[in-house]
Amino acid sequence: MSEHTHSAGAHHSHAKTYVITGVSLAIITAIELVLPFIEQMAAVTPYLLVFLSVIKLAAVIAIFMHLKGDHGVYQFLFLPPMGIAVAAIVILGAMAIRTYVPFGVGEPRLAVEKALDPPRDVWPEDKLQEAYAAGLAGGFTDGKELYDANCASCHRNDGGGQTGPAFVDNCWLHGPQLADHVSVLMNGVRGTQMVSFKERFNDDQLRALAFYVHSFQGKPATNPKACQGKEYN
Amino acid sequence: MADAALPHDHHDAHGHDDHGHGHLVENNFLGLPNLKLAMWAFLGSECMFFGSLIAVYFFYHGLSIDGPLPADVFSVTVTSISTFVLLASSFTMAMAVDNMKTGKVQAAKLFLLSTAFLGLIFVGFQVYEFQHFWLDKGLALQTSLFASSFYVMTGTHGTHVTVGIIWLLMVWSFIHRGKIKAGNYLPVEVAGLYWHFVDIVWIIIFTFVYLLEF
Ligand code: HEC
Repeated sequence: MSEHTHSAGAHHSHAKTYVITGVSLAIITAIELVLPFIEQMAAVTPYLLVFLSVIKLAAVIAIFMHLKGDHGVYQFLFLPPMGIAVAAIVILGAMAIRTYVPFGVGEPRLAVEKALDPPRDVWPEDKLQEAYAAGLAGGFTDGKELYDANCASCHRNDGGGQTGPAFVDNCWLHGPQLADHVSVLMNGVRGTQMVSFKERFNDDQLRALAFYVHSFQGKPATNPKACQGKEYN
Repeated sequence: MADAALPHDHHDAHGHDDHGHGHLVENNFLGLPNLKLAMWAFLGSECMFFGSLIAVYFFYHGLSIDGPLPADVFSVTVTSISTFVLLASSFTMAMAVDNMKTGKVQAAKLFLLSTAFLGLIFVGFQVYEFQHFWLDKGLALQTSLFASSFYVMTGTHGTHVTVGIIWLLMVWSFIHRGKIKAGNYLPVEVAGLYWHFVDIVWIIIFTFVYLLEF
């Protein structure tokens, strides 16, 4: 193995650099761990954490992975995709800011979310019933439009049900009242594919959907799903 | 690992001492070893893979209908220990490559084993974390947007660590059986690139997913 002697001579050890890097990384991580618990620093902590993690990233890539000083082709293959990934994270993260203050700086996040939520106009059942009776003859065209676009994939256009339950029977999983449907639409059903629509639709739209769903009862549907939940009269 | 028995490359990070050597059969027209080039290309694609998983996690942040929320389930202790363990494994990995490069094969083997062992501890913590979240805290994969995006993101990372462990053990056994000879450090170096990459993904997840929640 003559190659062996060649290469052993050609490479000097970087062990010292690695030890220094390893220890520094450990120290930075220890600092990161303490930061969230220092209340006086709450305002700057998120930015410090981002900054420190960027240093760690750079150290691992440049030193442990040897990318610094290595051939430019390697850098070209790795760094632009990394830039795209970071951009994706930043942009999607920024889009999510509408629902929460980034990194919950200073305030408990849930309280912040509630404060950002506009107050919802929840109608009692009797008011819903009144509006339903008044609109029944008109066929709830607003509701139908929204339903066909957003709900039919699971509940089918004719209300016969598919992934979700059928609406043409008198069976309901979450109650037979209009207010029950509105509540399902507002909150979704945890652990099922029925998600919350309260972010997507305003109160009038949610009511229009509930009315239209309710009006399916007794209508014909091709191959409706069997009764799910409790049967009401 | 057909490439394990390749003749080693002489490419050094700080100088192109491979020029002038006639036996670099596996090097491409750039004068770079194919294996390493392919690894960096793969890691570039992995960046975008993990980038999208992490971005989706952020996008869904705060949109879950119902708890448990991150603050209800995360534990500082468990996460910090596993973070230090993974960090240490990056160090031992760098040492394995370094020892292989300088011809200290026995030390390199030992460092490879320690790296795999530390990786195993990390995965063990993740298994504990997942079953604790799921069985004790009621956070199943389908519970909420948080649950789904969290499990898919961290689970993909854990899978990468697991693959890395198997890979390191294979490299170790190839060296042990003499299929990777002293001086042929390329297979160790390339496995190391993968391992360090998995570590940097964790640096991001640790900071942005866990620490900012505490
Ligand atoms: C991805 C599939 C899916 C979509 C889209 C969907 N749903 Fe559902 N929906 C379900 C499932 C599944 C259930 C049953 C939940 C359960 O098991 O409790 C359900 C339940 C319901 C219920 C309660 C029924 C009952 O028996 O109490 C209503 C009302 C409802 N959906 C209305 C809608 C409306 C209106 C839309 C459109 C804005 C919609 N759904 C969109 C899957 C869906």
